[in-house]
Amino acid sequence: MRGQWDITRRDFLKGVAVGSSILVGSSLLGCAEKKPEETPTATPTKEEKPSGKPIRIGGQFEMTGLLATYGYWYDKAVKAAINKVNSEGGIAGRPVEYVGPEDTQTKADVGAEKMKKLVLEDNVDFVLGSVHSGICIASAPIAEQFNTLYFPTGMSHSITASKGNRHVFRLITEVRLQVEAAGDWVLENIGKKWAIAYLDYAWGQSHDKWFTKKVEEHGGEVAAHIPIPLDAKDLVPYVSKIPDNVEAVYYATLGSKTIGFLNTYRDLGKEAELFSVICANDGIDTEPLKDIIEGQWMLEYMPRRLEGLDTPYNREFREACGVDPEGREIGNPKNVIVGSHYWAHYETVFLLKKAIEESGWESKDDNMALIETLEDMRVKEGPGFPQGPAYMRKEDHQAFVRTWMSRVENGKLVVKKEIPLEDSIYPPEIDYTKM
Amino acid sequence: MVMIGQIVIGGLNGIVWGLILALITIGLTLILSMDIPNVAHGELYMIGAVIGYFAIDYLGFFWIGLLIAMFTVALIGMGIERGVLRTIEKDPIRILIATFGLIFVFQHVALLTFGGAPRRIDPPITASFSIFGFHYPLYRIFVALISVIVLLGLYLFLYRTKFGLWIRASTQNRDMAMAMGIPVNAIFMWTFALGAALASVGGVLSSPIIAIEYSMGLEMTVLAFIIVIIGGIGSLKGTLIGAILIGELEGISSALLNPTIARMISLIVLVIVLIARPRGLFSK
Repeated sequence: MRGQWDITRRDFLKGVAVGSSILVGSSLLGCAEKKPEETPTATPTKEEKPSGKPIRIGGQFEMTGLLATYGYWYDKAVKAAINKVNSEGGIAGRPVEYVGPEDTQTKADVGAEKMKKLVLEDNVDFVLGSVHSGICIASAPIAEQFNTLYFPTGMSHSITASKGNRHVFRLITEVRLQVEAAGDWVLENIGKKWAIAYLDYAWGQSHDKWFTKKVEEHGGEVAAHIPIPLDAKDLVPYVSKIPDNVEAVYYATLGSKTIGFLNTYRDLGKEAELFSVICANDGIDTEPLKDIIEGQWMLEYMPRRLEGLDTPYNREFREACGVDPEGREIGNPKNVIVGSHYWAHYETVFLLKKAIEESGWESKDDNMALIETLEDMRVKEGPGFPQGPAYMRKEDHQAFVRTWMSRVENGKLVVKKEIPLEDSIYPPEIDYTKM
Repeated sequence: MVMIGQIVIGGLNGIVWGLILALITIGLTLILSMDIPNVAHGELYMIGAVIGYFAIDYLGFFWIGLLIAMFTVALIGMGIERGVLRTIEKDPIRILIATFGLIFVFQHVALLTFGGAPRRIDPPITASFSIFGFHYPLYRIFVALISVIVLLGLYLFLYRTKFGLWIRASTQNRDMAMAMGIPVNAIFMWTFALGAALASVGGVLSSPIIAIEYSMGLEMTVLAFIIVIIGGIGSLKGTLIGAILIGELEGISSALLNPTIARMISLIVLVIVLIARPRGLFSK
């Protein structure tokens, strides 16, 4: 009897082990979305094939960790841009090589190490950088020390102020620029009495600081400043502090905290208008959140949906990245683009092409000429620049671009107003050319 | 009036959130009582939420999705106990390293299948009620009640059934239990599966409150270990009280103070508790 039990048990356990493996596999893989398709490789269309020593562009992206969605789309955008450049003759006749992506794991120390690896071991000429401000700040001095141009996409204001240097250029928007772009409009159209809820670290604190200044300029009032700890899980203690008599709430949260905030906001019956910059929701599918996000205003740095910017250049860009008109990955519609961010690295490749060809850059020895060419550079909307015109300010290396005020309607982001780049310009805080 | 309302809401929510945390943590208490330092407990909570998300999204029924997640994660738990932990059961350091490795395995499986962006499960109950001028969602109260029922059921199971007696005997003195003819290996496997299933129930039930993302497990592991250490390792009562204590400290202090100061105060209180009772509030 005992022996029988042993055999039965062993058989049973084997069965359980095999069964659970199959179940785990099938439940995860069976329910899994289709594996994302690789960005299609464009075959050269021009007769002149690029030749000579390749120009090496490194990618320092978040492939894992909290900001992994950004790395995924950055990687696709850079591959699409480099494929296009190479298919059209390369840069100054030379081929472009993509080195990466080097995964920062969304950690500042790892990100800085990856920056060093790209520069010192992989010998890249340029680095397209992280969206994590801490990583960008840690990488900026490395760029200067090893004479390598760095293009971060973190949005902390200080990256193109006190923490930047002449080797750092930011093509994407940043917190102060966003507040300048949206502030006047939201204060004139949404309300003057606000509460600000923000993640309690540099990025969120910047939103609180600059938007408060903007409200004061307009004679409005911020009735409550509500910092939310980064590791907070349940947001009831924080959202319950939003006064009922405010006209609107400016929230600066990210990823899962955004969903937690919106859930709690509606759960507690709060009714004031909501406004946020798109960073709070980029990469997040808004349609399943319809009941908690409907009607809220957002500042986009490039419309998620094609309808908001239906140009041949944007169509070409989206097609190259495998994006459908709604801002979803073709073949994997649950994967939503970080539409207000990934364009920046696509365009940076073309910005580099323009600057290299204008300056006659051949190697890092010519970096100063390249820097001077990039400073004050202006580009027009066109092939390679689907987001629109851009102006790279000489003093602080911050680019100014147009933005869009959108509203969530039926779960979709609908553009309501385009804000010209001139409306977001503020005086530079620093002049790298004199340092 | 507004301040009183905030304190009342903070207090109520502290209990409710504490009960939800207890539900997530109780599985870890069970597993730790078998001397298995499972640092991947939070990943079982995350995988439960992810499987629940896919099942609910596919089937459209919250409660069926919850059951599917629970049974699937229980099977995963059995697989872990049988395939990974059984082979190294006498070496806590290797168990620690192995379960640490499991964190990466689960996280990357989830990243590949679920993606990097957070998502949400719609709550099955959307009504709310009013208290001191504040709305409060009924779903949270419902989850807290489920938590109470599960904890009560677990208590009765452990202290009023033969299988429960076997579990307690096996965790208290494994060799003696074996000598008495208790199938200790089977007991350990089923206990681990139960702990994993409870983590997954916590994952699915909390998903309409906090979002699901592939990296959510690690933070919950840290919180669960804090609760278990405060309450006393192996104590169900300690886990419950520890979870409610943390929920209340956060809830009330955040209503009255700047959240950063509130967080500092709650950590100071926890340190004082540990100084006064180094083995936790209800250590055995």
